[in-house]
Amino acid sequence: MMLNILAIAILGYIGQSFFPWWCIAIVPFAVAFGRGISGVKALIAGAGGIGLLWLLVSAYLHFASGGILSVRIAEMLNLPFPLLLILITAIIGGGIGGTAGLAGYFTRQLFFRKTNEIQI
Amino acid sequence: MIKIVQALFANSMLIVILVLSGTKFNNVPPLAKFFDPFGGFWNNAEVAGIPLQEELKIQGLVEPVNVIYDDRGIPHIFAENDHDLYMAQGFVTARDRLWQMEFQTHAAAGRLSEILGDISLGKFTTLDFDLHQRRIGMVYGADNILLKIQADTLMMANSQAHSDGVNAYINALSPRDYPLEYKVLSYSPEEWNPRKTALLLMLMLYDLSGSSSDLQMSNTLTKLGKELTEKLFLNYPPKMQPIIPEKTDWLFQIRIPESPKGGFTPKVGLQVSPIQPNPYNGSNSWALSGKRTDDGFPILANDPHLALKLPSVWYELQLSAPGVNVYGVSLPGAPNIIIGFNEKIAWGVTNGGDDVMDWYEIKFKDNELNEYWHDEQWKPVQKVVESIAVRNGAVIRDTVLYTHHGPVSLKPGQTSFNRSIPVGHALRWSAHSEVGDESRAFFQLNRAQNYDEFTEALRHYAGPPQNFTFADQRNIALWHNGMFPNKWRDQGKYISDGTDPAYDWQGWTPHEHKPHIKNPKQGFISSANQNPTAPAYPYYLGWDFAPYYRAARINEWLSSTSNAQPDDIRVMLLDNKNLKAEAALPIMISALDSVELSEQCVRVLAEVKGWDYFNDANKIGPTIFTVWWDNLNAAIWADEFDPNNFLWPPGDRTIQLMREERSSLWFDNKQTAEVENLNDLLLTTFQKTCRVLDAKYGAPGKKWRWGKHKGTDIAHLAHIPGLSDMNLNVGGDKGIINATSSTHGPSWRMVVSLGSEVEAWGIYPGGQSGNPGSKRYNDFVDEWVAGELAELLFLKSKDEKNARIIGKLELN
Repeated sequence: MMLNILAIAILGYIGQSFFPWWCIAIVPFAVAFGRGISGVKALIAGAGGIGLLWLLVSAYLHFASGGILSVRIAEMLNLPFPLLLILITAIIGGGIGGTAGLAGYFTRQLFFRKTNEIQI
Repeated sequence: MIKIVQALFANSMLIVILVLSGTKFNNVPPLAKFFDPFGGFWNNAEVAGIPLQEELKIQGLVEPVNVIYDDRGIPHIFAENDHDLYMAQGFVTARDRLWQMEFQTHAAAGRLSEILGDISLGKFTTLDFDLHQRRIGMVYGADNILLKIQADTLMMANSQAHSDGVNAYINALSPRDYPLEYKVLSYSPEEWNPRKTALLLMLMLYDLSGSSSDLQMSNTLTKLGKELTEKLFLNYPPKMQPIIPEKTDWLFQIRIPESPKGGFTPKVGLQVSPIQPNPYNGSNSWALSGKRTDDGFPILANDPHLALKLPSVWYELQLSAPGVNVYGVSLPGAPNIIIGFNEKIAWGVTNGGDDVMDWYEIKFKDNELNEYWHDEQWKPVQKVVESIAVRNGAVIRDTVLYTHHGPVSLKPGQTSFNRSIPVGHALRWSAHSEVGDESRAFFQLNRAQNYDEFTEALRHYAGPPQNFTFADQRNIALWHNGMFPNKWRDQGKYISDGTDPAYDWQGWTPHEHKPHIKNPKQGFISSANQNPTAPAYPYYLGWDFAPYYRAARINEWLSSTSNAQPDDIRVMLLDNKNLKAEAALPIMISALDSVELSEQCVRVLAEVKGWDYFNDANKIGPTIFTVWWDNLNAAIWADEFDPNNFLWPPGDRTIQLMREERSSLWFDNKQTAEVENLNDLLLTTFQKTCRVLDAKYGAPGKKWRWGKHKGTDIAHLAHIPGLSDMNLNVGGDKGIINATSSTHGPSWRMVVSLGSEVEAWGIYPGGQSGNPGSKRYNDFVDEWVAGELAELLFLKSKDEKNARIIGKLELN
């Protein structure tokens, strides 16, 4: 499970360094499709992987920059405190990642009879 | 089967979520795109500072350019030729302020609806605003400016180089590196060109010379008649200390045009509307000769008063190439330094305030609006169709009518939303066509080595009318400069007759006749937007200048100085003395001496009686005076003059009435049966003041302090929440040397000492970077609030060593 999450996070990081934001949909989709994991696992891996990636990168940027932008964006969006932004970022990323993972699972189901469940 | 449905559903959900999170809704940016840590707002969080060494390739540079950054983030540009110099200026400025440059020029061109859609901006919508810009000829004027620049090959080359520099930056930009506001508002930068630079100049022309009170004054004329109107609205007000001292002899004879016989009765206009340039756009500037300074060399000071915005109006930098080494502030989007100094001279500007904007009542032949009457004949109207693209909406088309005067800003029957645009009236504005070659004026000013070169540079300058203060090692001088129409007395104070050629502008004041002064005996020169000359000056320049308050206080300081040092001048810039209060309060308080007041009011009266007339941030007196004065002013005039359609007489005139005509009928409130007198008004308004302040802040105490009550805001240019600096605790006010109001104030403060080595100090309320995620977005604000000035680093060569240099950028 952790392997899937980490794999998606790392692949997502590499992908986002070259491609626009929507590649966070492609990575979990591809992993779920390719590895044939169960639907629940695909959802968790996708959400966890991208969520983790976005959480870590946004947190790094927040702290390394002294948080001055976060304070302003939080005010812009009417949020009570800036750290919430990191949480929201993770949720948005995770939401898309999870949906993509699930879609990958269901699409694989269309083409293969059995789920190839690998126990880690 | 069920697998197909599941797969379809899951994939559809994915697509829906991707689309939703990638699309902008109303004012909300696309969520996923915006929160993406790799390309959304997170990417604008500045982690690293200015690099120690950086090298960038720019196509089109002839030779390498060195940009040296100091510890305040100021770029010092060293180029080998003018082309590269201006290209680098464009590039380096765009790197810090691209969004501001673009947004301002979109606003100038009436293209806000393109970016924002048709949304409300408070009292009007973006569409109202864009229509207004087209109808007053902002783009028309910019096109004329561009024609003038294009006719000057050298200036055109500079402008093109500057544009190329900006575009070099834009073209290398990927969406993830867009400035924050592009991501918030969800649009992309477009290509820059010299036309946009011309639009930027139109914006300055509008802010500084785009106000007109012709409509309101005509309403007053109709209501009161000539005699009373002239008594209330003086061309030369009481206690005035003109810029060019009174005793000046004008050594030329001229004939100004004669007023037309009979006069013209304009029709009363309709509801005036909210878009107007800020009436407090003005400034202070002064120069002391060596006679009055400690080291025997002149000192020059300047602080332009403009709306306080983030990113700041000004961008600080140094430009150096063979033939030029100049430091100061520039306008992002235009080449050259606008206010500053070089190795030999220093200069500053204050707004002139001359009347260069007049309204003409147009008599159309019929409702077709194809012809208008002028000089005993029907003349053709030119029709120009303006197209306004509206985001998420249809393209709006508006036909603007042009007469030889200028655009008819409103056709008969159309509603106005600008406070001063009357129906069926054409606008004659010097910004439209009497255009000089301002870029050449500043180009030459940047390179001027002495007074003669300074005055030669000024020849090319047409507008907005400004007082140019000058100092070099041995001289101080001032020129009241611009293209001034040669008018008869009071021409343009009211709406003009658009059918009678006698009301047209009859030529221009020759350059040599413009008010100017050099090395006056008194050993100082100052300007604070007041009347440029005493009535003896033969030409009529206008009537609506600033009252005496700031000028008198500045002159009081300067005339009592004999060994000034730069820091004394800094202290002067921060002076908070309120001359209006000094004149008005004794009169106001005298009415309350023998009156029974509530306990609350007794306390408040004691507070304001003990006040020393200084609008310091921690004092309570200014709050009481300001609120009381506002109430009193309204009580005197609001019953006579609806503020929507009439101007109230200026404060200094009102104070004169209070002092010299206590029993005037102006103090009677026409809306009540009884006849009130001044004392009645003073009492009732004072009681109201006590009540209002008590309700807001409780008993007189900390909450009443002026700095808190005023609450100075430095608002974001597009008013995006979170990107402003609000509620700063600063003293001062309009009509005070430290002219800081709640939204407006010294946008740059500069002191220059012209010794054998030029030394300078300066500050502005903002920061060099336009990126809200950068420390340099507003790192100067605290110093500005504290009244400090930074020492300005003026390098003599690119190889100069200095501990304050923190980074180098090589462009090649």
